[in-house]
Amino acid sequence: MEVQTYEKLAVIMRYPLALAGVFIALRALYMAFKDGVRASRLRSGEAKYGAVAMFSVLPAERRGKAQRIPILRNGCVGSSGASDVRIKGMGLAGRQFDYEIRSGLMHISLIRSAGVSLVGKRANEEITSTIVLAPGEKLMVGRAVIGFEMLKTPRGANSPAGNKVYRLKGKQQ
Amino acid sequence: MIFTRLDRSQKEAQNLKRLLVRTDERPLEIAVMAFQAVCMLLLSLKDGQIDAFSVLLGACLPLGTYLGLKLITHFWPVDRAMYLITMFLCALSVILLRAVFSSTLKAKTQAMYLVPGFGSLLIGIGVPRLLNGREAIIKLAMPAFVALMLLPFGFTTASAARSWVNLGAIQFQPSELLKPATVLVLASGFSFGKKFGRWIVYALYGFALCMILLFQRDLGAMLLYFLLICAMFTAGTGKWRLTLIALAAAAGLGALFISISGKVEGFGYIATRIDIWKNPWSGKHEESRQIVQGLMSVSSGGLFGAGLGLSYARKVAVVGSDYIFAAVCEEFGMVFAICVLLLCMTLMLLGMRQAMNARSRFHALLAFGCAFELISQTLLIVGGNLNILPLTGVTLPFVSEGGSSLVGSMLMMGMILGVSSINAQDEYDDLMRLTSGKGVKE
Repeated sequence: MEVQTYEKLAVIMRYPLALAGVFIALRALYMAFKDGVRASRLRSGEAKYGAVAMFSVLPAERRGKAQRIPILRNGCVGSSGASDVRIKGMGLAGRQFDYEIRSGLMHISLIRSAGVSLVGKRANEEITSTIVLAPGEKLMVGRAVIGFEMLKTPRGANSPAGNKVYRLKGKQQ
Repeated sequence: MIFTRLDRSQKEAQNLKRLLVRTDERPLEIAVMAFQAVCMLLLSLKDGQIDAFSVLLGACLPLGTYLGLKLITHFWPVDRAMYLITMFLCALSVILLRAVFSSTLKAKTQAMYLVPGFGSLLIGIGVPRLLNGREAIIKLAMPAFVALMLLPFGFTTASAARSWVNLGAIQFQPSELLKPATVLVLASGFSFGKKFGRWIVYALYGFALCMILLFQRDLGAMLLYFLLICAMFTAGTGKWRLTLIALAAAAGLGALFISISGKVEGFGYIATRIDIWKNPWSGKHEESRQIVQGLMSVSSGGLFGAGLGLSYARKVAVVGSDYIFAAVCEEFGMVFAICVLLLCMTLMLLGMRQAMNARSRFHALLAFGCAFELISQTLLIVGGNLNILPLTGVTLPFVSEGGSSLVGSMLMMGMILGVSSINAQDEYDDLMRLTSGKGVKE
């Protein structure tokens, strides 16, 4: 091919190449935007898909965004793949506790009670093999602070602790 | 009775699972591959006769992009958009070097560097999984990293910065290779709980690397490392006031140093660069020719460029690495150059999103550090090319010529992709588990 012919071809090809660049940039931006919308729809739409409650998991230092895990059914929380709700890298046992939601309260049956304590108003409460959490109350397990929120809060779902203040710190089994 | 038995219907489960499916990457994949093929095939006709190397690359680049995507996504659910953008930018580097220079040597060398670059991408994908929680291994490697950074002191070069290791046939720049390693070390150090002593130790490690770079007279890399340490310290610890104090102190010391740099042996070029940056058209310094030619190159491309292979960007000194953005502007035009910048920004945005979605602090800091490093490097070099900032010796990630820069950038991108695959896997596992059984019953 003659050099002059190549030059003409290169000049003509400027426009398709610029168009290709624009398409690639816009498509990449579209993919980034669409996936972001998808992810936020996934996070916010759990109630629509049958989620009745939410775990919020925060590192013990309480900095950063809480990880929100929708609850659709009763199950087990732990760090292993055998758990229904898997929280990795925060010092939880493979299967830490079973949970069940009844009348707007979360009933927790501890499988491993070491490293478990309540936080907030109930911090001094003794830890037994079963704990009842009201919406908004939190549990410290390992290096994680696990909170519980109902997406539909029924009336009368008050904390079993009420306004009592327990003097003794919980014993660990 | 508040809740009745909730049976997860097939349709609801499918709707939920459908939200796991990401946007189809095939249009982007086809566009990137087509661009690579068309550019290389066009360039094969540049010299009046068909160039076999360009034809070969016209086939290998798109095929490599396609096979690489299939290989990686077979094992890990990585973010495909990020991978495709990275491959586009890497191919753009080869295309530009072939277009700007009459000899094919630089393009061939850069094409060869793509192989270890891809290898480092694969290694980077494995790093977040392998090194999560393994602080002991990272601690053991820290002295080795410092030793690697000190290596250039044993070698001399003709350039102002003494940051290269010259082993005859092989030359590399340790500071480029150590960027991902530094991100890894800082992510490991700052991801643990409230341990102020530990944080300070890791911050001092980072500052030690900065001091080494200062004595190597590689101020561009030193600035990048310093900004990285400040950003990761703030992100990991939340102590933004300390960071502001450090930045203010550094700015003050920097201004003082620049004012006396003319009297310090080996640093006289700093005052010259600042002078040139303020007014490159004065003609007082011989070195201002590079900046002036770069600016003329940026402007002479117009909106759509001079045409592939028809620019005079080769007249700009060190156009392959320092002024590659000017070459993009002249070859492809301002419209395409803005698209390249948009792609770089999209890449960093996606990286930051992976950091936000990571469930482990180590992964979050790793993705954040890599994305921050890449974005700050991009802004620094584009700003230098457009004379918004003084010119430094940093490179445009993936696009600039150079094996060390490419391997370092690919390693960082690999780490971001690794975090993205872990995030995707976690999301999938959680939802599969939650949708596989019955609902809450009263």
